[in-house]
Amino acid sequence: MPEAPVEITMTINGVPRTIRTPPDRRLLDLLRDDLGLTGTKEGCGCGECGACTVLVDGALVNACLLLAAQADGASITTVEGLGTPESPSVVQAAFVAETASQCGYSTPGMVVAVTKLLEDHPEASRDEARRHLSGNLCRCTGYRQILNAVERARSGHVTFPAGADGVGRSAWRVDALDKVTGRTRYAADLPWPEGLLHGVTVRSTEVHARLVEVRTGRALAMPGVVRVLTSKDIPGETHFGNATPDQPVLVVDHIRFYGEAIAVVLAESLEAARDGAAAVEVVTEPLPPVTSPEAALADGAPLLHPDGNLAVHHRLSRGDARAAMARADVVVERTYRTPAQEHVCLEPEVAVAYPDGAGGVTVKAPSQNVFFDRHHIARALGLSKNRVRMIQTPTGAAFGGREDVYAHTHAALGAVLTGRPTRIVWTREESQVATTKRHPAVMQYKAGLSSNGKILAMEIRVLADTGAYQSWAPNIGRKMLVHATGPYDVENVSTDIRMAYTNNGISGAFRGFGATQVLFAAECFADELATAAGLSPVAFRRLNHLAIGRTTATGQKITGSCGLAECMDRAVAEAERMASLRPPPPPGTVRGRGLSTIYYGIGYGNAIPDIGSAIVELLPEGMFQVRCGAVEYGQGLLTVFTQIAAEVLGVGRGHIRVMTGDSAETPDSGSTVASRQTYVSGEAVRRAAERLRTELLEFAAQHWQRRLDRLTFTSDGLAAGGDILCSLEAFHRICVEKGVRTRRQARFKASSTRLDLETGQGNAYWPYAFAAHVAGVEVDTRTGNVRVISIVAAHDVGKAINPAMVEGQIAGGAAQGLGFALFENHRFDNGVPLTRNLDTYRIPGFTDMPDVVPILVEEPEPTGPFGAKGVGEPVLVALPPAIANAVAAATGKRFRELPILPEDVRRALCGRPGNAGSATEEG
Amino acid sequence: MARSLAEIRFYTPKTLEEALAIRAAERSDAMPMAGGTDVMVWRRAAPDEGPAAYLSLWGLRELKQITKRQSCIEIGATATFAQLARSPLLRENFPALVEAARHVGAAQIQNRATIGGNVVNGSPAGDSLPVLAVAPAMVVLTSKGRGTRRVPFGAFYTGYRQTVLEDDELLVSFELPLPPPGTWSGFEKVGSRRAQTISKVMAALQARLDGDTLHGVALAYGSVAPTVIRLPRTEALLEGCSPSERLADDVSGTLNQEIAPIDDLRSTAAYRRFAAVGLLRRLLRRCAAAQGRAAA
Repeated sequence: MPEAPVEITMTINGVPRTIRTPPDRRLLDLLRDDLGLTGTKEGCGCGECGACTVLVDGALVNACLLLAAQADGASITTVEGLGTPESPSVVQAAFVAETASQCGYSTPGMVVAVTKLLEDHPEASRDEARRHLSGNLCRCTGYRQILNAVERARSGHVTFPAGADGVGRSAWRVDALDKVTGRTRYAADLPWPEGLLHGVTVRSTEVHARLVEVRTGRALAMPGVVRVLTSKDIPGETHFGNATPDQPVLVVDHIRFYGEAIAVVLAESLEAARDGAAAVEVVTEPLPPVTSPEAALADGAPLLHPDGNLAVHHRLSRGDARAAMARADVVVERTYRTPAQEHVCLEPEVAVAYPDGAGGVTVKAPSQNVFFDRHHIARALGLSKNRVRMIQTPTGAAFGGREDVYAHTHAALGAVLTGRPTRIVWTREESQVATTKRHPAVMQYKAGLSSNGKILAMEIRVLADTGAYQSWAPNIGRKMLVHATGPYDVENVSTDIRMAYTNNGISGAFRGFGATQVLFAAECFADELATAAGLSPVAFRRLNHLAIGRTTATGQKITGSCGLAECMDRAVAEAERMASLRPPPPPGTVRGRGLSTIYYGIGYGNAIPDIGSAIVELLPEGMFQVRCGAVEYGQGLLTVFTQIAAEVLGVGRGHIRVMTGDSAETPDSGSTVASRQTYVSGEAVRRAAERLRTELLEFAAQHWQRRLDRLTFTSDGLAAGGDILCSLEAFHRICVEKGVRTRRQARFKASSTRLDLETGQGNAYWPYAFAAHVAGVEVDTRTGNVRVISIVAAHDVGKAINPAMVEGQIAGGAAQGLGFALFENHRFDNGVPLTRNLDTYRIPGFTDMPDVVPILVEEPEPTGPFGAKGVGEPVLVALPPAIANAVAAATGKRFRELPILPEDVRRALCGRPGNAGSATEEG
Repeated sequence: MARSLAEIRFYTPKTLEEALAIRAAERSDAMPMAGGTDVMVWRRAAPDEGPAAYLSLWGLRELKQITKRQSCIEIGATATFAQLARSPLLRENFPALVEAARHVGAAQIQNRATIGGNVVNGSPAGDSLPVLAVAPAMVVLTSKGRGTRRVPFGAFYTGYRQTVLEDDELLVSFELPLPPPGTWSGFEKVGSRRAQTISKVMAALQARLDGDTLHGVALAYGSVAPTVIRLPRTEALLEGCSPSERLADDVSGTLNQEIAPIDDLRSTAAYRRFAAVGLLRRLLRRCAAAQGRAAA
């Protein structure tokens, strides 16, 4: 018998309310779904991430762990109660001023926690603030700018100037005010339309099995259940995939991983859909699981796909590696391993689909490419692309994790087949088990050196686990192939990349896209080679580094922009300076610093059409609108486009409006991936704005009979010298009257060539970003615990369009890199995932991260907008090897497998009696 | 078949008497809950296996008090860890409990998680358990029919997540005997990250310092056995000794015989054994430092 609702009284954001609610309703659901206070977010549902932080009677509480009935009589404050975009609180304003929000999903909870911190501990130091805020996780920022905001807010008075919008200025983010006040509506925050259906996914609890039958009768008989979707309901193609359509939208007959989607139950309420999902009977015949790439490629292994278990095989050969190796004075061989890493976007997967009444559908969801999403949805639905409209909602981070389409297609199917809007919101556990991970990889490195330390030859063999499906495996394998040597000019290279199907979930795109793994290996290997050559890590790198005029492993000559040497020199110098100021290590600890240097190809590469496209238009209301199909997901694209357009057009940010990520309204500008959008779409925006400005001013010169070089646009209107000729609204009117078009579109295409299939030779990417990180670690010699105490990160970004946002990328990428180096590991037991929420899959928190010191190196890239390249991925890629090298420097022990756990460090160190600090060790 | 959340009954009694009446009527059908920081996570993890009803104790003011009695400190079962961390009474008499309270999750968790919940949950990783073991606490249980009984903390657990709590009883408070003058207590923990972390291993030590020697030694560990455990043989070895790091190494053989850690997601048995000795070194070093300060 359902319990009758109870009546509870609460004061919410100062307003007393009496609410009737089921007694078991979570406060989080009551706030969000019943009261529309969607500023409070759900990230994990188990009290780990703090995205749902609210104040209950003045105390910080996770609203996901609190029953509303238990808050009867309480006073609740949510982020909406602290301020509004029109009148933000001091803390909210400080977050804006310090660029402390990126994707913004953790921001409301963070703002609440910081508000409370400053009330209780106004004098808290940065380290004390870290401890107090440790219940709030953020995956984007690396916490640095949040702590800056704490310090800024403490002053009690915050302003953020309206000017300072041009290129090269740290303009405040255009989306920040909405994010810090909880106003931004992510997909799960959208109002529920009339007739909404809720979808819950039925997932495989087996690792590998034949699907015999899905019995839906009992589920369909349950109250509120409207329909159960299975593969039989898919009108179009049953399989999809980025590289090749090998993955079922819903399992057809072959279950290949634990958590794979088998059916979707659609019901009138979420509760009914959950009950229905539990009543669906899945009949299977188990198959033997394949749980490692080695096992997958062994003779007689069960086949996961008809063409065999070898999903990808790429080869590269330059020069004659074998012969050169035979001539080498020193030969070194090492093997490195990296684990599966999960993106942990704090916004789990979600999609809301709306039928258009004519058989078509509009889907609103987080996305990295609305055109890909539209393609996959339309294909499954058997509709032409123009019947599907995909609109990106503000996206709670991506990191490559939103390049694959899951809930989008399920929701669209539901909407088209039932004619009712359909909403699917995944739990954190679903996100953890059913989305792609970074490919685990085993990397065997062999190099031959000359007596003076020059690398003569490298032979590299990589075996990676692509899991059940390819996703982007061929492209990721190619990125591995190109970057495997590290940023070195090596004349003789032989590289072999294999990726095998297994039943270990799915691997796919993740910030760094294959380069993360091989550059970890290459940069640890570089330090080991330096040791073998009797050189310092810096000297070894200087001898072998890429530079202008030198050649990559694919035979590509570096031209234009290469800030590698400057990155290394400045990072090393700054790290040395910082270390000299640090007091000696506490007893029982040892310290070390580690260097890594990387290069990173921006864009798709391999001659894949890499096109940015943008429209810039003067609107009747006197605003300039930029339209581009790229998407903002926290990295700051809306602000970058605003700054570029403002710079070119000469107006303030208030006169620029940016529209992105709508398959019906914005031009296709490719995926927001591969660190490419500032470079590719930024240049398209610049060109479109430039063309529009030039052509409109030419018309104005003619119309007003003024000299062209005297005319400019300003925020006040069209100007000639100091005179305003007319407002922008009036100018638009005149253009229309005279038949002058007020809209221009421009494209920009990045250049690369197709790599030869046999030799891997070609101009793989363009341009390349360069970086050097120096990590400082303190290792407790008894517990084996590694603490990262300093990170200096120098990045050659060509040109920082917005330095504060670049610094935010650097600190946030470093946090993900630190997690990858020291504790993140999505683990399986015989194919069954073990780390299913943030209590077992740990991501770095406030207390794990030192203050990253960013150094911006600006070697202008001639083809980029104002000289800009990209930065989104290199920021993560460079750190893990720097940490591993630092641990080696501190302990004398080399750890070649990530993550470097205290258990492993301890085991390695206890074999060495008399190691540093033994006399004064602490427990 | 899943139990629909809508079918779940939820009780919010306003008095202990009312709560005990519900408990007596519902027995094991109703799960007592306080701040919900564990119960809500279980409910999420296994909605099908949860109880038919919840009995919220959060609203019972009478279970939230921390009070000084003639010979003990009484801590109400639903006192939160934030309350414990702030309590002057505990800071003075049981500083180890204050330290443990500060190790429980982050602020959001400390504001809701209660000491009674931590104990009834029974996880050997519960942060407050080693301190209650060394105090040693008396666990006060009450039922409607049979009144109140007191169970020594050491007898409260009968196995992994098994306790003597009957299905008509509620845990209402803990009585921690006031320690004699000169008593030192401390808590230490190794976790998987620096804050907001579940323990790999943890320990509490309480002892009276007489001159520079330890007396009435009580030593307990968590996350090294199916329940939190006292280490009587190690305690006996420490008795009468002067605290030092070296002393921890001297007793490490016995210590390792008394614990039985396992490999799991958070750590390995070997590492836990090693870290267990490390924690005792830290505790004895801190104890020696405190003794030095007292002598000076």
